[in-house]
Amino acid sequence: MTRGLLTLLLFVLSYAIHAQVVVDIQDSSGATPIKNAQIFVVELDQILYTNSSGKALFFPGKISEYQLRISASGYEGKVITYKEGNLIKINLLQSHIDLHEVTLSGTTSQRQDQNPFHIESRKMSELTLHAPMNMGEILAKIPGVYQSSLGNGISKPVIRGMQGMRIVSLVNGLRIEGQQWGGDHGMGMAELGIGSVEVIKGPSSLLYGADALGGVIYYNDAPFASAKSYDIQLQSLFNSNTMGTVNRAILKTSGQKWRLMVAGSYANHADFKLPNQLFAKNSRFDESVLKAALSFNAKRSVHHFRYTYNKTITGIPGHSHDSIVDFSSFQVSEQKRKYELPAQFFSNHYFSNENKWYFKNNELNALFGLTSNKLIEYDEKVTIPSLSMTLNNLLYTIKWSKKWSNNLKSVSGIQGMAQSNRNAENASDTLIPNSNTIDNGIFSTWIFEREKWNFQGGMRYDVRSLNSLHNFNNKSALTRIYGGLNISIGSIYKSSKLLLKQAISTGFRAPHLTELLSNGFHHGALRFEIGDTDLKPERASQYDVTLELNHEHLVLVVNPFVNYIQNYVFIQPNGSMVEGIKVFEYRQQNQVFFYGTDIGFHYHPHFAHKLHWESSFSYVNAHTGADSSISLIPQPRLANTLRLDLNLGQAIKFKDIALTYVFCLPQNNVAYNESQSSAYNLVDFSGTFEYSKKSRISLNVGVKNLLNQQYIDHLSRLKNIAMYAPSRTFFISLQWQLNNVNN
Amino acid sequence: MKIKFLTLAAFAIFAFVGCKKDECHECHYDAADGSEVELGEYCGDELEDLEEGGYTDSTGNYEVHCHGH
Repeated sequence: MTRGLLTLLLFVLSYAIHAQVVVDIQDSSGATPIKNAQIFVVELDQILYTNSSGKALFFPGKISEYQLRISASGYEGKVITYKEGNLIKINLLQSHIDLHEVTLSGTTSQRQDQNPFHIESRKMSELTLHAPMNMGEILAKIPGVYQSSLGNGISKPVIRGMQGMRIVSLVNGLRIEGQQWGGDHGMGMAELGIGSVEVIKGPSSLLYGADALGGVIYYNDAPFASAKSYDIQLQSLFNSNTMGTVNRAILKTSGQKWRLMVAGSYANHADFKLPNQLFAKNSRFDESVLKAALSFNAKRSVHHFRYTYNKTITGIPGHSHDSIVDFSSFQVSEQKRKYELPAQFFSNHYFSNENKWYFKNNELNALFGLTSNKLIEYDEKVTIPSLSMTLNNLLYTIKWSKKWSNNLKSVSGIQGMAQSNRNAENASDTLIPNSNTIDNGIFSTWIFEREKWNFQGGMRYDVRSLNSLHNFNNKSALTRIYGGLNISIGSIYKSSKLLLKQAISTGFRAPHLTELLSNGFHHGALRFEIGDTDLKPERASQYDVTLELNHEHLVLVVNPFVNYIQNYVFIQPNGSMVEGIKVFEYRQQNQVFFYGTDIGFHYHPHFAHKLHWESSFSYVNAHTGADSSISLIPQPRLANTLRLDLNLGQAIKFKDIALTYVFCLPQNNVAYNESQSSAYNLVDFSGTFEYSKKSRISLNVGVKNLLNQQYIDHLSRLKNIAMYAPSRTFFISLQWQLNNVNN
Repeated sequence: MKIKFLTLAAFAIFAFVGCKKDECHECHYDAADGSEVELGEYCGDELEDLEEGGYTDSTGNYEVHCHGH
């Protein structure tokens, strides 16, 4: 009996000991513990912080191995695999600059310097230094990424000159769809709870199937709280230009095996102020977001359930039904907040369930999702919508990862979606017919590493079935099946001072219903549009090179590309008018070359250790060889940010200041009927104060467009009514954080 | 307890924010002679019926507008 009890006690003790692992992080000498180092446990989506002794507690389950990503300020990040043992000792090399974040949007979770395909990864905190108004503005801080905006409320990303249907967006692996074919349709993504964003520039059909022709935006939620603790974050922000406020609340709590996050935000902005002291009529918007996530780990598996609700009500500035438009009527002396017509109501539900099972050298990942997007536009009447569409999307991705040896790994799987679009019966207009779309794709990709080299290659086949369900605009119901074979191959050569990546990737995009069947007014775009049912799928092939030179205090990155697109679909005026509105036709160009480069450096001088200077230059151009049909090519852009980590003071710290200077060169390379755009300069400045005791209070103050520059970006949809961008804007943000409090 | 309270508070804020008000609007129609005829304030179902059916009098049926365009 006694022996039995002792055995049981030993078993319980050994289990308890095994269940708790100490992570000990020190510098390369092994003599100095690193405090506040971050340890991100990929499989659990959970973050740990080291204490003043450089130690953190980790509670693994029965999964055979865990990937731990370690990062600490002033040290080179590390990714390690934990399999067994009660102690993980990690030594980090001192480094002044580390640009290699771990990315999740690629084939598999990898550091950027191990992935041949150039992926830009940015933490949200880096992109939101100057209180951006929307996600488009946030993304436009990334080299090669721009925004196409219709005021503050509607803003969409542009990657290397491509936007709308050519860009695929995902949040935690879930593809989000929101009538992105319309330039005046919102985006449905707010910064609440997002931890980082990754951008794949160029075709990525191997990973994300049809439509990923121009690029991919991949949002990652911020990690859950550490085990057995909770975090609370409250934030309020004021914007002087729109007299706008943003309020956010995030609550995270974690047990040993489960994790929960609940968050909400509400933003409300009145019409924005122009440099001439007038206001952009009906540019007001408000946005409500609710987010919840639940995660738990079983014996050899991890399961995530995530839900996001996003609703925006936004005015549509510059909207007119008049045949002769007086642009000055869109600039008014009174700033209003309450919505007026025309207005867009844009709501989204995103639900996903991700499951990962871990076996020895094998990993199975199954993601199921449901998204529902409702777009309602009120134009002439307050109770009868001019447009009302509901787009529902059921998605799945099943991936099997197999580690064949220490050098060879494969990821294979299937991915697809079933989409339905329905017009409400009470809407006065329909832009596209009721329709069903079904996508299915099968893929396999292989990763091989040998010494300083890393190779990746894969193949994918997709089929899209498109059915419109009724006659539309005097065109009969349509059924189309489009197929596409895509490949991606790439290599990396890495030495201590040099990183060379080369990648060839392809993509395809099937024509959208609006391009096939349009035959009527699109008031939001101020166009009468005519589609073409004979359009063929677009096909893209991109060659992308990344050369990175590393020095102790300087990293220089050069990333040229050429993207060859066949059957490029574009819209062009045909010279006629219907009821005073210009008529545009969808056409196809046999071949288009997009080419350009992003060049950047990060300089952290030895003599001024608190200073970081980040600079980037982005250039993109398009060449058809036949005519000037390609419009909306972004202006060349030079961006510089100087950041000074001050950390002055004790309890109250003057933490840092950041100065950003953006110079956009003129765009004279324009399409038929498109006007040129002038150069402009923008200067933004911000400073952060911090008070830390039990909780942390941060005060961020700053100014955007410090010089009150009067400018119109080439991609602004308000350019056609000669409306300038917002004037000088002051902002103040107050944030209260309580982190890592024991439950 | 604190966590439960905060969770409930977060949901309550959203329930409040998400509530749609029954809106009222001043309505008018453009008469045949080009003049604007005010009809007063309409709310809820009455507003919807008026926008859908228009305003009818002895001179005919007129399309009604209920917003400051």
